[in-house]
Amino acid sequence: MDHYSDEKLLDLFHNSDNPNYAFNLLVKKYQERVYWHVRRLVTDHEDTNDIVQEVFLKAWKGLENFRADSGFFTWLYRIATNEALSFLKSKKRRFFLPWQDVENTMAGKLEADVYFTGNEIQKKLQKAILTLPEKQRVVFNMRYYDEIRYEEMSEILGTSEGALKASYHHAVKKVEEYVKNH
Amino acid sequence: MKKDDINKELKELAPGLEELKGGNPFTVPEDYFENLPQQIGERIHAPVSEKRPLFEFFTLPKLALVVSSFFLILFAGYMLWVNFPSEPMLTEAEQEVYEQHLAWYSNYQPDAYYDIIFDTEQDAVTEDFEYSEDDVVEYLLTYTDYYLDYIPDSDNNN
Repeated sequence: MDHYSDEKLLDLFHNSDNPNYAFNLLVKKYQERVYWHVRRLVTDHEDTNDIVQEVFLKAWKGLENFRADSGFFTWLYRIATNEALSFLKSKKRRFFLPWQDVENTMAGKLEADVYFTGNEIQKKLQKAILTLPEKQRVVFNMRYYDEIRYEEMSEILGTSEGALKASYHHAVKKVEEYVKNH
Repeated sequence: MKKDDINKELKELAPGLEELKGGNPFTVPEDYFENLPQQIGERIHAPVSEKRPLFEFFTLPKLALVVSSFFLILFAGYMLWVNFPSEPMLTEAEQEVYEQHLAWYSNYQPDAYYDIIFDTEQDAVTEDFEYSEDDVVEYLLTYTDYYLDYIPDSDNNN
């Protein structure tokens, strides 16, 4: 599926008799990248699964009006980021918890997660990432794991490249500090 | 080139983290990604049910807080309204005096005015009757007392 370009798939979606087929190909092409991006933010598989389905549902509804001003993946990534952050915020609101407590709960769940098979150092790294403020965490994950350029990140998050760079540098220092001291 | 730049940046910032990079500690259930497109397809074509159950509506904390505050204020307002005295609280003696005055006022005839101030109605319409300021003050002092002390026996009035 990966050999189809986004333009070709979008053209197929808009102009063929079977948009379902084209959309299915788009899902297959991007599902893993979207999944891992969301999973690193919310850590739990079941939560991630719900969010990913919601992301593609929103993409399906919005694709009719999508005019490719930004790339399809940039657009999809933006939806995924917003959905994941909204999920975390709603979790905090639902239980009247401050942000930090949600992250502590998530770090605690990591211990018992059957879908987490990392060693101690990887667990420590994930816990360190969970101590970061929301925005820094998104930036850190996008740069560290997904290796996204600042330029593209700026388009996705609607933040200047300079601010993203500063945010990433702060995040890296904090994570390094945590890993050293725990 | 792109990856090299990112790794170079990380190495300069935190060499320890650069070494940790690689390997995904998270896993997914078996065949998860094989089944995901189908699950998404099913959700897309599932009949839309916009209505949320009522009990779920009330489990939303913010909404529940607003609704309960509203009813609390409403209840407090009702209790205040029910218990608020509609008439001033009077002692038994004051109440008696008050009722006597009320009876007198209800039997009040405009002609009574002349009984108090003038001997006859004719005296009252005398045109060249002039009042000085002292007269007015004296009148007020005299007749105000009279007026206030004049608590008629309602039985006699009738």
